[in-house]
Amino acid sequence: MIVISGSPLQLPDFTPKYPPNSVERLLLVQMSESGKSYRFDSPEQLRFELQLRSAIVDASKSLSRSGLRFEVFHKSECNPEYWNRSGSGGFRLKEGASPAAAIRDIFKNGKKYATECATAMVIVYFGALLNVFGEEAFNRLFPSIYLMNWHGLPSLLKEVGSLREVADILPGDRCYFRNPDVDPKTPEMQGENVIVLTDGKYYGHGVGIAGAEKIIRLLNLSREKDSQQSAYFVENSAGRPNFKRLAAAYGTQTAAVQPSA
Amino acid sequence: MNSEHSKDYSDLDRIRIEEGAEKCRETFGEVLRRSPRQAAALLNDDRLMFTTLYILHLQRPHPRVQRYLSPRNMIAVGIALQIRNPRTKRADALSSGNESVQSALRWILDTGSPEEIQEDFYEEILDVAVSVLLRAYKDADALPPAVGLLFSRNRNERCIHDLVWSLFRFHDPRVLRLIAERIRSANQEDAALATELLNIEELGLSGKGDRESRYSRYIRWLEENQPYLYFTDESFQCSSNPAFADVDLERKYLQREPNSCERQPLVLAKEEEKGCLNSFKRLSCRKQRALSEYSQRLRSRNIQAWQKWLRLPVDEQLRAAKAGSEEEK
Repeated sequence: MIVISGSPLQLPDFTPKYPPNSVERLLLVQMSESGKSYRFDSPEQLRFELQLRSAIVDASKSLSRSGLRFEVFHKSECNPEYWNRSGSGGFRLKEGASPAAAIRDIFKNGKKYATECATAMVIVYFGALLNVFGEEAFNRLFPSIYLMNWHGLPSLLKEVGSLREVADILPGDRCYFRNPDVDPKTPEMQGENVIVLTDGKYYGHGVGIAGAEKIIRLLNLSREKDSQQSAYFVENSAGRPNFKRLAAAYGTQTAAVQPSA
Repeated sequence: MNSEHSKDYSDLDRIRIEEGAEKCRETFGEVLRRSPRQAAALLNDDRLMFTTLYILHLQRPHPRVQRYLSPRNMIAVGIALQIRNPRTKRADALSSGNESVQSALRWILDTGSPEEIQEDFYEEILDVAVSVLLRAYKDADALPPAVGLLFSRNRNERCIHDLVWSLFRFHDPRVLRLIAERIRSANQEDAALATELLNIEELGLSGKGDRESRYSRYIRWLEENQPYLYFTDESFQCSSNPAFADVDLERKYLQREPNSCERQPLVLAKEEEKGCLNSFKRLSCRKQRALSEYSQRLRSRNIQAWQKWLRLPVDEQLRAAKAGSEEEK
């Protein structure tokens, strides 16, 4: 159920704004049919979450087409025009570089970059936020960026670094496939971070866009000898940004760029 | 490395340590030009440190010495090749159940970690050595050097995530104790990393006091909870703030020790216990913690009183626990 300012949402009033089969429409249906109450302070707050979740799905698809390569942190690579590679293998925004241009470069020149799956998830979030906020607001909100799995997340995004119990897995969620018997020689295959898309598909860096079965099959290829336990999807668990806080930041930022009456 | 032998360097190590890596390469190059067999003999010295083999032969392999290398060095070369080109099909240089591989990996860790070279390739070899030693060879003696390596690498701001993963994947409270030693380190980076890895703040153990008292608080907590401790398999790959180990509060509440450090579901035969546990599960985490702690204290003092307490409705258990805790103060 969706509840806005204490009243249940009348779905027919809201859905026509979104095309059939759009991510937003699917989200509205899934949230309305859920046993959990999704509460919002205003219709704008709900619209923002739908918009950002849809942007996360789009950014995942774009990143999967970008040519970004999979490598462990010890072999990570970045475009030195925008990023400095840290001793840990993360990417730190260069002084003077535009955060928006640097993020956009990863989507445009993915072949110049190589990293692990978690960092790719963070890149997806930044790509989505850039699309929603626009360049000016994005640069103001994220003046310094460090890309290295879930470390160094800006406070506006810190919640995506933790998996929490959730009632429903929704498009735009960050989830995890665990590979408990992974071969000790390939720690990078201990699991796969994914973004939930639609139609039972996920985006995982290194795997691309695939269903759960394929992701599990690929992880299982990197198990230790005589393993008895398959890789699996971690159920009822997702990482989500704090959409309400981001919506508030979005409201503040857009108000800041509106010409005064 | 054994401290008794630390001064007993091989010729090449002595040159590297006293005159630097470049001089060492130069000297080795001169010998190699004269006689590859003699150059290999220098590398095959039992006392040679991995660091020296790395700078002389792994950074840039010399095909002319290859055929004269000792089995230990051949294994190290195989491992390095496997790491450099993981996608190339070749025999697994790290296959488990092979004593000579384990011994070579220990040599790599023991002699390669004290002076780790800050290069990705070098660090990756060390990471894999730790991971395979702990998981495939269950080599608990590798824990102290691996923990040492973790902290020194952290001080150099290099990548520690795979080392952390390997250590906690070992599922052994000795890892927690080794890391806990660093809580009382004078080095702030060491103390901060230990605090983070052991979840000291989330456990409510940071509190006031100096390093020693923080360390003592953690050790007391560990001793109390070790029987119910399990490893979560969380890692930096899936979380920014993983809880690597946690306490099974349900088992602690019912005082049922598991037989390993993995989370095992409780199998209860008595209806009374099942009802008790169901009520316990409905409590907040804070209340669960309070009840499980009281349960442990009461049972250690008076087993009959504990059995009687456990039969009370959960609300009364909570009241008794509150009153009991206040009396203890």
